Amino acid sequence: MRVRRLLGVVTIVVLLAIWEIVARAKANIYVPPPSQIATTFVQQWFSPAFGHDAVPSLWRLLAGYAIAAVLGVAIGIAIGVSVPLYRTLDPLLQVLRALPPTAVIPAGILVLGIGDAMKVAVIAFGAIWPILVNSVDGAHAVARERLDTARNFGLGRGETILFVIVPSALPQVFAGLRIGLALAFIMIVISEMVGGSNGLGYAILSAQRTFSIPEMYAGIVLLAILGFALNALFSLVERRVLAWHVGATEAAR
Amino acid sequence: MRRVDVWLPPLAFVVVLLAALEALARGGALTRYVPPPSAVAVALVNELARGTLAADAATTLATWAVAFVIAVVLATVAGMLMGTIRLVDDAFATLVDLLRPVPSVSMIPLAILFLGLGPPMRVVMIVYAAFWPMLVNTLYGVRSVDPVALDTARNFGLSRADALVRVVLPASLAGIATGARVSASLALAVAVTVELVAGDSGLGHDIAQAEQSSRLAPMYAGIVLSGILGWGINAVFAELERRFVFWSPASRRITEAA
Repeated sequence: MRVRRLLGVVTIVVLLAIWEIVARAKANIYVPPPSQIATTFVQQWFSPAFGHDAVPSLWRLLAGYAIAAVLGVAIGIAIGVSVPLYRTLDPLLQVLRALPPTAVIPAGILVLGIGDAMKVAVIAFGAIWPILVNSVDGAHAVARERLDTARNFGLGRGETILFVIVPSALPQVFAGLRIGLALAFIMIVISEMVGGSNGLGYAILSAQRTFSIPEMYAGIVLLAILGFALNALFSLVERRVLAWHVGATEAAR
Repeated sequence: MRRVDVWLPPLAFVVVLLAALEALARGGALTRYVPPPSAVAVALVNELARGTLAADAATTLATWAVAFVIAVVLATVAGMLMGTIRLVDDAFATLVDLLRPVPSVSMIPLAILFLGLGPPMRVVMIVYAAFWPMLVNTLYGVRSVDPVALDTARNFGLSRADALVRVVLPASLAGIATGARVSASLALAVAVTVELVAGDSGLGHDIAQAEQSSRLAPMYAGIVLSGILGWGINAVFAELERRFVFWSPASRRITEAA
């Protein structure tokens, strides 16, 4: 494992070194060397610009994602446990999930303007479908014998949902939440690019339009770091919450 | 033929929903930015008949198809190499872990800088975005190959290349098929997205143009058409998966989204 990580890091260092050497030799303004991007990154983001562009993006992302997560899981479980609701709504959910989510951003701009409300709303809209669909499937596909066992132990409907169905659905719910997070990122970047006056999506697109090339790269690097960090945080929470599941699955083998 | 009780409830629900929306929009209960569904349906038919919307949808689909094929080929080859050659895996796993969670659309300005606004920029962006789920699923597939099957192949004297084609590839097909379905949906979403931000043609460009000139019904018609394409693509790939990789668990109940 250690050899593996070491070799992986070596690959990245070698690639960066090649980039640095080629960029310095060719001196193409479109391809600044990584060292210059790093310097710009520090100058640009360890400054008030972080509060002006990065903080609003993160705030909108988390607000929209939280709405999608809460509504998606709650409504999804409710649909999944009810046979009539499942039969009525599942086909419609499959259609809505297939809609390219960014296509609704222009409609969001017309109805809600280009402020925070629009961005939070379109992020929630973009992220909710995989969360909803996976929660529905997770709750719907609980193994028959678990439900029978719950009944034999005299659990009521509410208790069965809370103690049997929700835990059984969790692995799939988390799979949906992870996809939702990736979509929330797409939605924040695009909604800021198309209709915004601040935020990271706006910052990198306007840097490109004004040919502030190192600033554009620095913005992309910050988005990459945020994407990576939130994904890592998500994995951490997932491992914590699903630890019992992994343990139980392995013990059963 | 599916039974009536399977399709009647969802159909009835959608009809009621659309009727309610129609009544609310006509009664003036909604903002003027939400036209009645009937107006959107008429606009969809008119715009398709005029040919511009159809041409833009065709552009989007053509870009999607080219990029999707490139992404599938690149990711399958990369997945096979990483999945079967230890050194390649060790060297690139960290890079993949670092790049995969990066929001692909953040690369749009970079792609515009190098390639401008035309189709090549869009193809490159779509390939980049669709590559990751394809790669990850191919790797799942390759790693699910039964070691006993590989040992057996070796005992029968199959060369490395033969074992790759006859044992590893068929066993990985389930993962590859899942990756293809997820990537196909994602590729369409990214195609529309890139057109929306920076296109000079295509469905996303159409929607953005309609928004900027406040042509409401045509804008919603474009959104609906992109939804129909997304749904169609997903349905086709799910059906292919069900038919050709019928042994895989995913084709029994297809759940995972883009």
